Amino acid sequence: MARYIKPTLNTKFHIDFSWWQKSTNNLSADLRTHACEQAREAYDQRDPDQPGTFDWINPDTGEVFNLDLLWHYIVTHCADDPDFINDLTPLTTGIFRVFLANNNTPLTPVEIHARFPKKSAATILRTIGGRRTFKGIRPVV
Amino acid sequence: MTQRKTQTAAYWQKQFTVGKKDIEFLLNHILESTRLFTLDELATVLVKQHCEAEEAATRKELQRGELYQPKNSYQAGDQLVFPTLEFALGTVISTRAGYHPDYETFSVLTVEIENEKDPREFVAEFRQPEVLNIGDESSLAGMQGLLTPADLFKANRSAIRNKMQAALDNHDQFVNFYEQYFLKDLLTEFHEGLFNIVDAAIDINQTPLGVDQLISEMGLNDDQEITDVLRFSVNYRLAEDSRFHDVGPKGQVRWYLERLEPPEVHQLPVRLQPTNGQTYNSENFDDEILELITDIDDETSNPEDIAPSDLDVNQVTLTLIYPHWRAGSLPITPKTEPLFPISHYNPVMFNFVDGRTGDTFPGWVVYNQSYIFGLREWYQKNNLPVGAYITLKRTDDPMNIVIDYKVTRNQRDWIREVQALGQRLTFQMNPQPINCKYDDLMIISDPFPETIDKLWSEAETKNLSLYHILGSIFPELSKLNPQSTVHFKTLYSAVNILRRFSPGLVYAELNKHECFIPMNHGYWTFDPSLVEK
Repeated sequence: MARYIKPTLNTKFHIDFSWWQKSTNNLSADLRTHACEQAREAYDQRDPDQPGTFDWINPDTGEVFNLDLLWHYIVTHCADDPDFINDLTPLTTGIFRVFLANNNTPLTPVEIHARFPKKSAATILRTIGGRRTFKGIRPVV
Repeated sequence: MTQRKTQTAAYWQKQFTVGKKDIEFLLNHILESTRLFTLDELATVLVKQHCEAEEAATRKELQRGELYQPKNSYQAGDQLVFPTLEFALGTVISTRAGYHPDYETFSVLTVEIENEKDPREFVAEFRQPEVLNIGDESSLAGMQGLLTPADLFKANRSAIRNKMQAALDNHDQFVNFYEQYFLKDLLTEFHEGLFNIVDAAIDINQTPLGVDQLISEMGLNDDQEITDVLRFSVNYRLAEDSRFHDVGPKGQVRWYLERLEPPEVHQLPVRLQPTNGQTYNSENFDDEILELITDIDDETSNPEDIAPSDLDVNQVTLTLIYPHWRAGSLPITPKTEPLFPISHYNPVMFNFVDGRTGDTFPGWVVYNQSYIFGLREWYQKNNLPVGAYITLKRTDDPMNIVIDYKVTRNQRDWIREVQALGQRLTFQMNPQPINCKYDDLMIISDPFPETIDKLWSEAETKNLSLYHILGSIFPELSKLNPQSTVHFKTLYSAVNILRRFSPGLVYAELNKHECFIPMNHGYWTFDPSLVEK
């Protein structure tokens, strides 16, 4: 098991897809809870020849993760919706959506707070910087 | 951008170890310099050594396989070096066509990485370099602009220090006194009988003495300038002798006698001992309760829940709670800490200056256990009740802290009085002579603390739960108010008569049970019919 490194307000976090691969949680099922109606419709009515998954590429490493195509539809359809992340969004859901909206570009708790000001950067750090991993959000190693 | 492993936090925090070769290197370094080194200095020297070792190894590693480039084409069996995985070697085991709605065609390699259980996938034949942050720069040229060993140490200080400290402490040749390290064979020799002179000197003065004064008393300097190595040697040997304790703040060594210290300085007073295994999660606490937690300023609260004072704050006012009233102590919290001389290693002896009389008396900062000790007589002398506002002020001398309370004209106020009734606490409003300002929600007078002690002892023995205690005192407190409501601060103050619970715990427990019903502005009411059996 990886050793725990205490993150700080300046530590970059992202969604670690390898966590989802090893987890009993299902990313595809989780993504459906984040998709707006428009994205779900576009996804359900897509060309039948289009694959159901796509290869997400980590721009910093070139590593590839095969994700449900719904991810791509959410990034392209929901990210600009002002209600995608609002004051009523629960904390962990909001943080996950921040990464979903920016296609999983790594961010520090301070940068997350700038996009999701409901809670302070310190509270965000306490939430995602502990030993328990929420929705695969982990420090970038 | 490609990084050497010594340029990454992951290396220093996870992989870095201090091995035999490192120890040998450090021994020689001190021997050649013949001076004291701080842990930070030794660590920086070792970080530099590791960086230089990688410089040589990197060139060797790159010869093991082809440098991975996303734009290139690869086949099964190809050996690739991945700079972003700390130059790990990987073998391509298969390739497939990749798909991304936004990108031109590309392929995906499945790669077995050395020392990893599961294979990973990487992009290849990728023709849109603007999408990626790696590419042609993934070469040695991309490694320019490296952080210096000092910068690397600064960025990973805590992890490197912990590993260094553990390694040096486990080696019998390294000796240290606080932050400074030296070699045992290089210590100044002197007769142990001289320590009796040190004992007598402190006893006669009845005050802590600095090492330079003790060296003079021991006659070790022969009227010559005292060297750092001599100071270190005396400090190191005194620290090894159980008769002597350093009671100075950070950066000052002041030796005192163990037998002159109050036992509460080394043993957390029983009334301050937190109830075992109790934690809470403040994630869902609203701003109102976080403000109350900051206002209460309990040392057992999660530090991040208390808004800290400015470091240069000159005065702090806090409310006296029952456990500290009984122990003769005050909490060290983010709010009070900046005022006190502290040491991470030892209790610090300082002087309280009575704000009323100007008299001084000894106080102790027990930083590791988060309390200030030495106030029992002062509380008694001034008839201060639980809930009294206590003021702490800086002076020009950091070793002198003024303690005061807000005086009022002697008046009789109707305040809560606690009494033991059989096996439980009971409260009633009684007129009491009060000579200080206080928090109306937290004030509790206790005319017979010894009888309350028996109930406290029983609560500890029976390991009474917070829920049980709240259920027994809530009806008692609600009787004192025509609306039958009780403020959160009153509940917290009363609960802590019987057992030690942080305000966060009390709030979390109130929220957990239906029988406790929140009203507005921090008030709660209690419905006995909803008590869980």
